[in-house]
Amino acid sequence: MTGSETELIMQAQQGNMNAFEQLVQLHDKRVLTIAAGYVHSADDAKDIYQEVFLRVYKGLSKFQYKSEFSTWIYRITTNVCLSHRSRRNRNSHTSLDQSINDEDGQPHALKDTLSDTAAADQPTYDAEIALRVEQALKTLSPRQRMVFTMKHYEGYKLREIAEMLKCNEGTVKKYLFEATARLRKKLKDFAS
Amino acid sequence: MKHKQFEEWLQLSLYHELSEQERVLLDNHLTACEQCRCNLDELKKLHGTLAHRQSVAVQESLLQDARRNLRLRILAGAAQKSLWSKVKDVLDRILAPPVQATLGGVAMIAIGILVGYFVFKAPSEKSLAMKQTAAMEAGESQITNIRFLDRDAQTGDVEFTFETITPVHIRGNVNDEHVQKVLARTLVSDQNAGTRLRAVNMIGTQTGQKQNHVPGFDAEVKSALVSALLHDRNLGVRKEALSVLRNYLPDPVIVRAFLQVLANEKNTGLKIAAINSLDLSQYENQPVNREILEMFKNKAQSDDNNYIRIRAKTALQEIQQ
Repeated sequence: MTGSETELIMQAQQGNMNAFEQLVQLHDKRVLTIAAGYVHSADDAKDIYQEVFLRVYKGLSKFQYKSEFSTWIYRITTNVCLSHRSRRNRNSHTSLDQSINDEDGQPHALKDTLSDTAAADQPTYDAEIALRVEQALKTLSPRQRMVFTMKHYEGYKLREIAEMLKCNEGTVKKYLFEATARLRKKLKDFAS
Repeated sequence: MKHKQFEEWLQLSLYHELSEQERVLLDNHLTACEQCRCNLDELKKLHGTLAHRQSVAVQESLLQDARRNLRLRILAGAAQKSLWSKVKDVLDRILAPPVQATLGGVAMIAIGILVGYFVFKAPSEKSLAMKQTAAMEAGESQITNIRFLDRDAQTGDVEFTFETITPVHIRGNVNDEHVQKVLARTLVSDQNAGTRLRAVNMIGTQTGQKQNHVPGFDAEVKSALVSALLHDRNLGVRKEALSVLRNYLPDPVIVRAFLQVLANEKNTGLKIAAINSLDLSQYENQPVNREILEMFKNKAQSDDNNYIRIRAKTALQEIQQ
């Protein structure tokens, strides 16, 4: 924690709104990036952003420098992400093995349809894979998804993730391995 | 070593999370283990598949939007803070925990009596919502965002929510606290840049009148001006905010805001105005003095703009003389 950051915290604790805004700006891009990586939606990421910094605003008077200020904020961020419920109901998953009807009313497995489409329309195929990846990620538990997105997509070190989630590195590894195993299973048709 | 350990290391190796020693051990194992080599290939393919997920870009506009919303929510929260919560804040500061507990018990009894009074009291007054609809009927308000929640066909009961927009006409002095607060909120929330500019101008009228006797700045007005200086999308609004705030130097918060302008602002004119405004002689023996010096040195050495570098260098020379 730098000297000027400590000074800003003290001023913000005394109700100085400008100091609070400067503190926010020191950390908010990272908060928004973590949120966006986790929920994969700009709207939901903004909701998380609001919730995180409102909690910071309300809890600032009780911040006692027992941890780094940044660590405190990122812990709040991960907590808010983990308890976040999406604005939109996007949980209507379609199983890859689920049958769909073609124009003639004949049933086909969706994955076969995707394979056929792939050669003809590569961008659409890529978009479909992206959709499947997103859906696969949503089958993970919140903690598995948090760890996986922070590690795989945001590139945080295991040690940093452990600090943010307030657990040890071994636990983070466990979530990462479980998430990877689940994703392998869900996406095996595309990985081959 | 157990095979499962190597399987875990395969994943960690793709994230560069293995120590040098672990990596060597894994490499040696891979030369001998067909299963692990296949496993590694599959993991690489999985990573290829996962790469199809496009990240949500955190663009500046998204960040600015989030900051603006946060500011509004905090301002709205402060405005709606009830009398009770204000009293509670004061009590929290002055009362020790045992006294709080006693008062809490007394408060619970009082609440019980009040609840009993309202439960058994015959409804004789219009609810607040009904009063608001009366204002609407009188033609004072418009309704918007109506949402129907429930309807009982048998009894005719309905439930819905809506928002009212009531025009307010204020005639007052720009130095009046309430007028200032309205202007401050306009500055941070109005979508129209022209309106925001007029709001800064009006606040500027006040500071212009009081240049020789600068009073304590209302915290909300100052906060709004600093926010406008740092975040408003319109350059005119930012420039006007800077010229108003300049009258309140050497307030350390405003000094830091000017330093942020120097660090982040894209417009050269505004950066020059910030340099010109920061007169170091006012900050002797203050921590901000060092920050200003460092910023000037930084700008003199490494700003992309040649004119900024020269101006910062000149400012430094003036200080040293």
